[in-house]
Amino acid sequence: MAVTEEKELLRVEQLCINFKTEDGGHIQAVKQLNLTIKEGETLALVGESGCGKSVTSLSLMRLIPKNAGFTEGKIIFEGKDLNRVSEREMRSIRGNSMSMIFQEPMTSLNPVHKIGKQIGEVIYLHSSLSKAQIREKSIEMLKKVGIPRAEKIMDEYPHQLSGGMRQRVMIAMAMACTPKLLIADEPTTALDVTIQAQILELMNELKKDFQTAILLITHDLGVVAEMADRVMVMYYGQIVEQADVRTLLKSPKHPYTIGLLNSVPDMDDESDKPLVPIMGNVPNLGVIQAGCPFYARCPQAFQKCHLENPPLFKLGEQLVRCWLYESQEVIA
Amino acid sequence: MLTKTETNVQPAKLDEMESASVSFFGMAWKKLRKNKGAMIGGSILLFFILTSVFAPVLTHYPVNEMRYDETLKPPSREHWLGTDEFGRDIYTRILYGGRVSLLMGLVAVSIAGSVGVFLGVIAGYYRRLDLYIMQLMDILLAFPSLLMAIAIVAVLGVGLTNAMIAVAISVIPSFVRVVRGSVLAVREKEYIESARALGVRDWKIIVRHILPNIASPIIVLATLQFGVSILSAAALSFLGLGAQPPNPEWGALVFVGKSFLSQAWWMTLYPGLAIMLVVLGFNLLGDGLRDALDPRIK
Amino acid sequence: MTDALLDVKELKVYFPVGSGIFRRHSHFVKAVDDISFRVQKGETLGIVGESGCGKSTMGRSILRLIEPTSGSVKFKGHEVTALTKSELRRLRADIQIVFQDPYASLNPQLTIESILGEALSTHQIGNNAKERKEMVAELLNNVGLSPRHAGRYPHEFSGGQRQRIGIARAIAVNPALIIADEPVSALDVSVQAQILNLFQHLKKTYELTYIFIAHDLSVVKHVSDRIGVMYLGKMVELAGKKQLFQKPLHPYTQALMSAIPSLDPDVKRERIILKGDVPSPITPPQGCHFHPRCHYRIEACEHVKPRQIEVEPGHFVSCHLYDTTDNLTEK
Repeated sequence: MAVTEEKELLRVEQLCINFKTEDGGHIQAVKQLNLTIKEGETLALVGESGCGKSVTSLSLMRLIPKNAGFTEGKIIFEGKDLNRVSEREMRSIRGNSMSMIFQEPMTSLNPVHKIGKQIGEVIYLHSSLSKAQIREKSIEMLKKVGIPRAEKIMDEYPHQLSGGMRQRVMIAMAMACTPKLLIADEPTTALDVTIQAQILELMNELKKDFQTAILLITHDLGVVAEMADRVMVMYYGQIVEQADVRTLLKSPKHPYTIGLLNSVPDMDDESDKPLVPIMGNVPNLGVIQAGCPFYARCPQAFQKCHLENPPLFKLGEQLVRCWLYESQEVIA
Repeated sequence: MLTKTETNVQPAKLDEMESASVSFFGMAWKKLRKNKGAMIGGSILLFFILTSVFAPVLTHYPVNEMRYDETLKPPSREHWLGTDEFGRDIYTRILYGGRVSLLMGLVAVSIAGSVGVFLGVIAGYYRRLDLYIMQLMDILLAFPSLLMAIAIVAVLGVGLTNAMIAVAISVIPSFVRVVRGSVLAVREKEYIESARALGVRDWKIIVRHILPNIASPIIVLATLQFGVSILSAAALSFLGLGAQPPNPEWGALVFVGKSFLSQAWWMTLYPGLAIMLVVLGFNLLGDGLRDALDPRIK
Repeated sequence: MTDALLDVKELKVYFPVGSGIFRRHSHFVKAVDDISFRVQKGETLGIVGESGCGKSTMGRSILRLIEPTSGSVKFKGHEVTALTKSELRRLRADIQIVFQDPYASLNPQLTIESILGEALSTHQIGNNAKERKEMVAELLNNVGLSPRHAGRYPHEFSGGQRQRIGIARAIAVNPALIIADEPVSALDVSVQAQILNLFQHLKKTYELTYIFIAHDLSVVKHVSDRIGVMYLGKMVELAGKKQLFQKPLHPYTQALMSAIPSLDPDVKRERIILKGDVPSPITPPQGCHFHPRCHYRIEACEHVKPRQIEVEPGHFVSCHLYDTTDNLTEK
């Protein structure tokens, strides 16, 4: 891949995530995934339930419990392989230079602690500020994420806040140590559209202010269009298409991406044309197939798709995992 | 006017799930089989049930015949667990006593279970009587259950039947609470709403939709309460309020043995062990069932 | 206009807050607060609104799954709110509901066949077990499932398939009206489209009328002929789909539309970012419920409740900006 002038922040090479199953075997939730995020860039990971997008984000933070599964491959963040650093070192990275916000603002805040204490704890862990300074910094962060009457909210409990407010608090906590990378796992899925618009705008502002790169995990192509610079589409644990956001939305290549885009009713479309859904259901992981995992649902599948899983083919700057583009250069 | 119908209805692919279909309780049984504690508990119970059912086959001594030449004999080849103050074989008495103790548990749990489920469903489904039923239960729960049972026996009079009723009444509130709570959770489920939306009658909703879905907590509770009931019944007998000598109910055996504690420890130890093992068995099985019937635990 | 299939007038559903035998109900959540609309036979009325706006409560109160506090619901000319229990049971063959959560809406202890069979037998459809079995097979076929799977339990199906079963149960009793409460919001995007198309297909085959409730404006737009927008228990705007999208009148509708991210990178929407959150329905703002977040509010909005005005034929809006009569001074 061409070396660009922006500095690379995160590089993931050949990431495999395996989960143990009941009968002693394991299923591969993510298969040989490669990705890079440059400083200040927003990369969106798109896919439906069970495609492995959330697991990928958890593995970057090394938050997958050891007894549940194991990961292989390299996760190089600021020059360090996170799969090799000690747990102690990992703790100093989490919440500091790499932080995360989750889908459920209702459950990701601890209900028994005041908001101020929860933000303060993050700052306390990663800095040597005094108590008063921590409080000052917490209030500053709450103001930055657009929370009115920040001083008062410091002494309130999570249940006293609305969903949108809680997500703002989560963002304030995540941004408190000005991380290099913010992983946002479905950050607006649980919120109403008007609140979603607020939160997306806030994230874009913070990104500009702090020069933070964002890894955005979502199923919503609208959110992708709004936020992302580059997009990776995941299906069944692997990347099926990768492109910059404009190319992906304007000229998608993989039949799955095309299908996804056709499945979404478009607000701006006046023509009332029927939706063209993808047939069948999202497959369960663990069903081992030889060919392309999308084969059974693909309208353009042919003989070869059934036999062999395609590699990623390169079309200009776009990567596509589909035999339809076999004539192109192979990437991985 | 909006769509082409051909593209609409695609047969959803179900081919990957050709395996035989298993019901919820089928899966629970599979999980239970894997649970060691539950299996041990179940084995203990099975052992006691079988021994009390086949008591006449397993011993050649009569239960109540007194033999004055054999009094207070320690455990030996002839009398595995020794004899009591009237020369009766303790082993034999425990076998027969198991019949009484297990039956007391069964009757008490059945009475408490049916009354409890009935009241709990009424309270949870028809919310109008909820407040009154639950306040009554709160009053019952305010007494320690044994004290309550003693009070009831005091009113009804001493005896095996009355002891069973007393134990049952003292257990009812816990059934009502659990059943009501489960009904409240289930009645908010959309499948209950959709049954109502279909015009299904109330009693049918209760029988077909609510009861099967609250069966799990009831089964678990009944199992645990079985042990508790046997323990309470034994305690009543031990206090001289339940089964009366010469009835070999386990609690009564301990009660009698207590007077001879310094001369014949086996008279209290073995029936006491029997009580402990059975209660342990029910608790182990109950815990296992709770895990097996919880769909969240795989 | 008189032969509307469903005619809802001044419907109100209030829930008491903090009830108990020793306490009087001093506060109410006005989940549905004075809503009127008509549904013509064969049309799809979409209801859109954010969480807590009362749209689901409204759907359920039409079937009296939740008892309305006051107001009138006329179905085929009969007053639903006055029906006795047994009449109500019969009515429920005519109005059916499809729920949001395909995991909670099917009894996990019953097979698909008995779930659908119950719907049929409750309304004495089909003469015997054999006939009903055939009908179940046909129903499954019509919703795109294989009759071979009738003996299976709900947990063996995916979310989309379960939603198909839920739909089969609703159409089993030959209803005239189906209330679909967020039927696709729990589903994956690729499956969502299948279910939306299934709804459209069944509408034709069974000559159905829909009330389609959703929070997703683009989904509602796709399926509806007319759309009602709800905010805090009120219907703030009601219009034909074309009218509403070409000329949204209520400031809330405008904000809602602008908030939806566009899939087309070339479309740059002029975004109206609303300030703050939806207020609590227990203590809604005085006057117009929307005024604290509204960009166009005038003085009257803070004190006077707006009336529903028909700005042009079939386009209703509740907003002082469009009220030309001079009633703003009275309270």
